Amino acid sequence: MNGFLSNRWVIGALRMSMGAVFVYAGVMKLMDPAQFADNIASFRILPDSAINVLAMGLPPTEILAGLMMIFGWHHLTANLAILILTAIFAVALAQGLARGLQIDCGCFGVGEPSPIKTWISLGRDIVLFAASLMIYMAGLRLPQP
Amino acid sequence: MSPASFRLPWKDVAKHSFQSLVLVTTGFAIGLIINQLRDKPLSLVYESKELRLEKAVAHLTATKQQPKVANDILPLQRVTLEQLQQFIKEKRGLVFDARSETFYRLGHIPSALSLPREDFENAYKRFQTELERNRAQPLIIYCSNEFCENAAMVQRSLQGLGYSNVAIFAGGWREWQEKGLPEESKQ
Repeated sequence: MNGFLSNRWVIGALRMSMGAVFVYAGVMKLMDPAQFADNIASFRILPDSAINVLAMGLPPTEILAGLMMIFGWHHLTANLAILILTAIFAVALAQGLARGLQIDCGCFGVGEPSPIKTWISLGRDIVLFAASLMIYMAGLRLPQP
Repeated sequence: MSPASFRLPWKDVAKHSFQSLVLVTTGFAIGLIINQLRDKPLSLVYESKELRLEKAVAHLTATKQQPKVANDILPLQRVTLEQLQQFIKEKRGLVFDARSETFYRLGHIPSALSLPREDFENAYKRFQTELERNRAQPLIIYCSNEFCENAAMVQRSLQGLGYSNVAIFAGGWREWQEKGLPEESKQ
């Protein structure tokens, strides 16, 4: 199993899949930034002065990182950015759940908040974090082209 | 290199961290530029959806005197799926979709009109003449599901604009879809 997960082709396929997920997520958010800002506001963590800036900046960052992952250009840099982002998302979602907030993370575009969706988002985020960590660690082990 | 002997190359991690910072900064710079190129750019400071809707209603009422309705004393009227179907069949009034335009285009209840909470002011102006002809005509608003707030917010705004007969279909688009009822879409 360990050999399988450190196989260059497996890691390559996983890296491109992760890239595609983040390009998709970024494009969906970019389509409706006002709704995404509302989603960020529902977490009740950030001040009003930071919410819109994040809603504007995060989608292009995700698209950029996703494309870098897909095309393999500085992919470890993009992977580390994604790793940090998914960790931040997970903490934000977990604190929302702990506080009993009605959150729709807006992770994959606009939606409406519901308790089950928050749990699903957290689970999905943890999977993305784990995959991202695995790709990064494998990338550090494998000789770079 | 075997997994057991692997040590984290901190130099590489530090390099990637710095480059990630450059990546994020670039992403945010692109985001700010894209925002400036939009028809309706976001302001730098966030305003809650309630405040944005209040401002839109205030703007609409500022240009034209509207009958005053105390929206805090009106009951939150609700209709069931069966009542909504009957309402549409008998063409007793208008049905509005309060979700964003994107979702409306992807699929909505047949004959429903798009009145998104997010773009309330512009969307309302499209139907203003028709609506003002009869302020007592029944209107039904829906959004995504029983958890969404958009329908209730649009309902309150319409009541604030003087419409006395506004109800919500709480099950929303999800209940309609779950029952396998006919859909309409606009591409």
